[in-house]
Amino acid sequence: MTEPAALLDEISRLRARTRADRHAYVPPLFLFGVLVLLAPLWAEGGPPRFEVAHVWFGTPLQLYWLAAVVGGFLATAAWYLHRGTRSGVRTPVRGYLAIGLVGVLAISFGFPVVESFAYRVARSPFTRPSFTVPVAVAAVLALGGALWLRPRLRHQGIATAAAMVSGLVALAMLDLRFAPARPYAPLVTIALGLIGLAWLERSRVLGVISGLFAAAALLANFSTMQSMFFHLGVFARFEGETTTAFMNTLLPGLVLLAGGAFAAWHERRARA
Amino acid sequence: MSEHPAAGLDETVHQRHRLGILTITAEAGKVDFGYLRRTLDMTAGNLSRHVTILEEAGLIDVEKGYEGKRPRTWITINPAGRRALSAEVAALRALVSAIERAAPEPPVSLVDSPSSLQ
Repeated sequence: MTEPAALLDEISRLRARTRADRHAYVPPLFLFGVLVLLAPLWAEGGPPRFEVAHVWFGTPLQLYWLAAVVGGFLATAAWYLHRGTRSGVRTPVRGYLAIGLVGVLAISFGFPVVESFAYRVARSPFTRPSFTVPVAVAAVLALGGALWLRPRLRHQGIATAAAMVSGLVALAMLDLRFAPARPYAPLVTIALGLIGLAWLERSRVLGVISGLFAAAALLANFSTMQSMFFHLGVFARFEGETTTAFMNTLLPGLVLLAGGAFAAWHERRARA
Repeated sequence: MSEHPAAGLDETVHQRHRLGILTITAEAGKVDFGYLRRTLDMTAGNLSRHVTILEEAGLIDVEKGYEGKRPRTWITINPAGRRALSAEVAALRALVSAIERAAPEPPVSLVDSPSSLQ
């Protein structure tokens, strides 16, 4: 092997080793899996509790999602900091926290705002898929572009701001599309966070798991889960909010737990 | 006439250990001095010398602090360092391609014919 080829070979080897050493995504997958599966326990809990400027906040499920998403994102960031300090190689988690912040703002304020005006929202042309879907797709593409450009720019703050605005627009579209229907947009926030984490980790395994979870989250938001259970002959009648929430969170939660188990096995095999 | 690929190599970056430091720091957000020493299998003095060269060239940032009573040094690559690493990898790839193009094709009879091995 020539000297340049040997150097390139060593660069690839060092990159792979550092990447393997900083991977730490298994505990967040288990944590979010459990948090998602616990959500139905708060589904039957009465009307919203707080009103600010004619906007009602605070059904038990909304409060649960807020605590679960904020707690889950902060716990994940704390875990990454702890692990990075212990191993000596840190993954930059600021982008991940930015996604969490945008997601929390969107589901905490955007969602109840849209829900409070559901009647007017339902008549608005801006809630139709012909508007929300193209804008959301463009925002997600802009988000990806900003994240791709970020390390290449001298002023990274501009790319970070662009990424946050794009993320907020994407989530606003989800709010407009889903809020009048059902409260599972937080699953999409978690999915976006995990996709962001897969990007930061440069992990194909986490990318695939996040993609599957995002698909399950979208199925829950499009009420496809209930149709699936209906066709399977399980929970064919309406049996209360808890059962409906269970139907919608079962598959996303199981995807995360199974993904966490597979990722743990994969990591162990890679280190062996 | 196009420039020789070797002209793209930067003397500061084109050194095995310094290239290793830049590669590892580019892959992570922050890297501890001890992690670099273990991964690159270097002595503390030797690593410190290379880190200083890269810091003086404006390619990495060094943050010295304490964790409890233990001193700890964290190293971060900056955008200039990332650009230098990308340029170096591109130059190395161009060089490998140039060497492969320049290498004479081995005679077919020596490679493919089983009888030539007997």
